[in-house]
Amino acid sequence: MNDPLWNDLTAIFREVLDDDALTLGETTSAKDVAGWDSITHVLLVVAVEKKFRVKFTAGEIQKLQNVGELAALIRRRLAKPA
Amino acid sequence: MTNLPDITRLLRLARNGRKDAAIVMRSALLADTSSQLLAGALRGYAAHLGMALELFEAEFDQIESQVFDPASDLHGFGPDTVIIYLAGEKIRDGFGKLPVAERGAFASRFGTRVQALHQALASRGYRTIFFNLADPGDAVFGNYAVKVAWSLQNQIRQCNAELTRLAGAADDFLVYDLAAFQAELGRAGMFDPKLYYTSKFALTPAVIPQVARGVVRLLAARQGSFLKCVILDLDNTLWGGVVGDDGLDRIQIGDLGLGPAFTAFQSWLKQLRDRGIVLAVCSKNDEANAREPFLKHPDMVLRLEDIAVFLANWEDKATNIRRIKSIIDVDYGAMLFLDDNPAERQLVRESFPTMQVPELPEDPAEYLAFMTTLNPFETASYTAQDAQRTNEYQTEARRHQEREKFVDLGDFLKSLAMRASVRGFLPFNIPRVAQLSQRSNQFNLRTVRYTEKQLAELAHSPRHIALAFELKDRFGDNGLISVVILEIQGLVGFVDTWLMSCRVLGRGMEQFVLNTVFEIAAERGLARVVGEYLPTSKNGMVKDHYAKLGFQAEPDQRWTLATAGYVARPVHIAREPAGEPAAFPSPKTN
Repeated sequence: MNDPLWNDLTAIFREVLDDDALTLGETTSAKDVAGWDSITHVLLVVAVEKKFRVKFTAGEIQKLQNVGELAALIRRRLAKPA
Repeated sequence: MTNLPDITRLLRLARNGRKDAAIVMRSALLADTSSQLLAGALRGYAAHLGMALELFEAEFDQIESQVFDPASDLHGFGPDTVIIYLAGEKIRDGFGKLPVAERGAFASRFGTRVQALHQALASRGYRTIFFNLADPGDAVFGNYAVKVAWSLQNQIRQCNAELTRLAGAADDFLVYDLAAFQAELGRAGMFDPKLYYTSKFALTPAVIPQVARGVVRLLAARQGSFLKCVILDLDNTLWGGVVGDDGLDRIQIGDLGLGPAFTAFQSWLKQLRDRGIVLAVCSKNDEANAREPFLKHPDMVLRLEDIAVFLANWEDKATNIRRIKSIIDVDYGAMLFLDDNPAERQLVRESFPTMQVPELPEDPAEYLAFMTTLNPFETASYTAQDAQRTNEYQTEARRHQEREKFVDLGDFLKSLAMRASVRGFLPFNIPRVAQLSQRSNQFNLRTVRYTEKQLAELAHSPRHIALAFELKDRFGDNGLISVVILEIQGLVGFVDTWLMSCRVLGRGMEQFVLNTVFEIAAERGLARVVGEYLPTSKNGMVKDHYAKLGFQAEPDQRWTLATAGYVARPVHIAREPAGEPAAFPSPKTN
């Protein structure tokens, strides 16, 4: 997939989860990825917020189910800042 | 300065660990919010410094049950230090649930709680590090809160006052000053409500590395790893301008030009000196010019007597720093170099990679603020003798000059007229013995660290012989400079501890100590003395200690020497009659 946003997301996940071979799909979720637990979830959120210069709400963080939803949330936020 | 890795890198460092670490620390982290990130960062930062931190983490909010239950996992683990972090935000969020009548007593109850925790930990020989409380924000009374005893604002501040009071009363109780960190950083930078309410994180991942750095420095200070000496440039570092060109009355100190900034910087350095950080001057200057402001300028805060070693000449700074080290004799890693000139900093950094060389800001007005943010001077102890250190090194510098007059070492040593005293561990010397035990890295055969409490127990142990040595000479008092602990194992005296301050190397003190040890060993009917060298990254200088003293090698790095037939080694040190032999610890017969 040659989508800049997706490439950035993959880079963040690889860095935080310390896995250079990690690939993400739309439906990839915490249970599919070793090391993606409640702690690294927070680190992922913080890293994504920093990289894309966006802020998520507490409710959004709690509702996220998979990487596809995260990507969609970033796109919405970039299109229309909260 | 080493750069601070971010949280992701720290966690990676923590996972990889340090198997070769010379310094291993054993701590526990107890918190009432989520502590996993902080725990990982603590381990990671220790690894970043080349140390290993074995860290026990409790499930969150298990503080009392871990501390007070004798069968808890905490006690099974057995840490040296227990770090406790209670979050101010958590206090804030529960404050409204308390009846108003109880709110005014919150801080005093908090103090009681902290005291009970500390006492329980101290009774097991663990040291306590408590985080004080960051201000969580109140906004119930506005500024009027200061006047209302039961406001959250007031109670939080009083909680911190309670922590200050309790820590001030006990050597084994330290405070990590999170409130000061918050003042530096601001609340918004360190607390993210979203992370707190979704995941119970009271610190943002962005600031956790800085907090971890502060806490690990506190832990490491206990292990003897902390700064002891500051090396100072003069022109445009201690004053504005160039004294050799501008002249005494045109340098900026006091009110002239940027003088107030340099005065403030010197005032801070003076406070460091007063607490025992050794100041040395290393300046490319004509010596007379360089000394003149210290002697004659009325606005100088630092005076010549504040400078332990004063080197002003035209040689390169690396050469001069080596000379400073030969007098002050601390690791290069325990030195911090301050110079406004980036080229000098670079040279020093390349010559001494372990030395701390902060990248001072270009604007001298920023020096002090920059250094307070860097906050590099941790320590785990402070004794009155620390403040004497500058005088001791000034005396040492005079000894060095004296040494150069003699061709023969023996003649020089004789001329020193040295007298040493030998005592057991007594209430008055135990703090200094503990400090040496915790700080000595180079001349330290086994690097076993003891707390004051453990030393007090050793002093009365029938199975141990504990000896503390003080040395005087005609230049002055070197103080308590060597410690030996023998453990009696049947007919063998095993040297559990032998350490010495490097300041008195080359004076024959090792031989004097050896003579004393064998005299006492013979009195106690021991057949032999057995020593052991446990290598660390810093104690290579005593690798051949026992061989040099005539011990025979045994397997497992052990060395042995019989008491029968021991011939006292020649020394130029007289035994001080005071305190000997009556002060030798006598064995208990029960």
